[in-house]
Amino acid sequence: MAEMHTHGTDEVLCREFVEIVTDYWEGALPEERLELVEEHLVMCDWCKVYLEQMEATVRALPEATVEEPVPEATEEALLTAYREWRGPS
Amino acid sequence: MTALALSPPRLRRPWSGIESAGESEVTELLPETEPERDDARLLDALRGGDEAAFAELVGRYHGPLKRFASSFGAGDAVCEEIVQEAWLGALQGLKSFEGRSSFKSWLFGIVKNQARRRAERERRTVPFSALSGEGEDDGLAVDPDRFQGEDGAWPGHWATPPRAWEDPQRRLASLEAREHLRTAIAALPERQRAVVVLRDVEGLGAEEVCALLEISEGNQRVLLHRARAGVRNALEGYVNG
Amino acid sequence: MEGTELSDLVAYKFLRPGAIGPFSGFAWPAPAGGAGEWVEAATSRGPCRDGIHACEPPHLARWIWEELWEVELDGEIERRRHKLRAPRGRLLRRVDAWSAQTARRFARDCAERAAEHAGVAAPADSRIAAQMAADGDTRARAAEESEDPYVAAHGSAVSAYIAAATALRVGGIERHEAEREWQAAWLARELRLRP
Repeated sequence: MAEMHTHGTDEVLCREFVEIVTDYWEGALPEERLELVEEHLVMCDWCKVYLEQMEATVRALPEATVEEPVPEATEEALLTAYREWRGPS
Repeated sequence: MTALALSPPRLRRPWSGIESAGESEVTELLPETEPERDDARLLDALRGGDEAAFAELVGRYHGPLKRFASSFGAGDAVCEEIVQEAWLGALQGLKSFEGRSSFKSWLFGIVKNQARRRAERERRTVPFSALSGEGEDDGLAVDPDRFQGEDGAWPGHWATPPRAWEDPQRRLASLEAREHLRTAIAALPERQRAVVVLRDVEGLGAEEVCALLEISEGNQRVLLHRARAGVRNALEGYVNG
Repeated sequence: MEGTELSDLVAYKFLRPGAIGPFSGFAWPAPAGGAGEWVEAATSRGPCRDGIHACEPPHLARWIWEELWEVELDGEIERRRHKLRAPRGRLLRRVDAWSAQTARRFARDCAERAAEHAGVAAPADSRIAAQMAADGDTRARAAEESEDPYVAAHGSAVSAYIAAATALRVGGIERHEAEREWQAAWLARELRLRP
């Protein structure tokens, strides 16, 4: 009977859920699967935690860069080009 | 005792703000449009001859453009040149920019073309889609050992569930956390890094990223997901560590 | 899908405390006096891009949260797998009989159902089925011992899931479906739901 257990229904399991979080957010899941995902989330707190952590990660990512100043030579060259482009003012 | 028997962890309540296609309105994960409006203001000033406005745009986008250029496989010095050329190209082409896309994504497009031209000139043909793609689209978001096997009571459910992060927004905002974020991004495979940086760091839309990197929507999502999951895994070690 | 003949049915919707949509975070306009305001899907004010979701009594146990509301749907109503979808909907009244206390009782009864299923497992399955039922008991006990309405509601959702999964393990899809029907009947009876 071992093959019968969770395979008798086509529920979404945690193992699958963690693979489709981005599809879920991007609206890329077929409707039927979307419903199964939400059904899973109702009963699975651990997947809710995973989802929250993925969300926290995505929200933190914009902070991940350190902007270095534009190299002086580059800025100089670009401003010169800009003045030429603008023409005599 | 299995994970399913454990009492629930502390969750945000009400549990909301998470986007799904089925039940939610607009994504909260989308970047704000404030910078775009500000770009428009600077563009107007630039067109009117305001040098400071041009300098401000350069200051704002030079770094992101350089990071993007590097995803085409060139070294730092070459990227610097590519982006400089791109700025010149942008000035030349400014008259034809009609604002159908965002200024930002238009700039990224110019960098892409410059990078491509450069590669052709140097007879390096490195289309993004050919970049060390080996195996980057396979693999799993989470170590399969963290789920129960077929012989357990709950096959496919968590065996080692994630531990809830206390106040993640605040914790991930610390300087130390940002350092971990940067390290995690740097450690990603090239294609994943390129996608996640454009989407989640620079805030470009899915369509823009597909067009820039010449990849399919499905491929974009897979790379984005692997990248996000990789970064989350790295942060998990930091937050729980 | 069966379109308009569904228009007279009574639909239900579980929400978070304060009539908040669990996935959308949308605050449903609560009824004051009569029914609540109509909510349109796919508008800037609506909670959902593709429709207002609700469900019928047979599927309630799959969608449990802290509050249960009777809702009226309007427009082309579609019957999806375990839910209904419509372009418009409004809250009619809260089903007060669904409380933390009811949730704890439901959790306990589902845990006992799981134990009954485990009791008839074939020898090869009995160890695993017993483990599943024990997990159900643990969750029901946690719900009973906690003051927290979330723990009660969620515990009952998990307990119902565990009973259905144990039934599946022991007796396949037929037993699983029968278990879900038993759960639906429990809720309809105890909450005095309109059919």
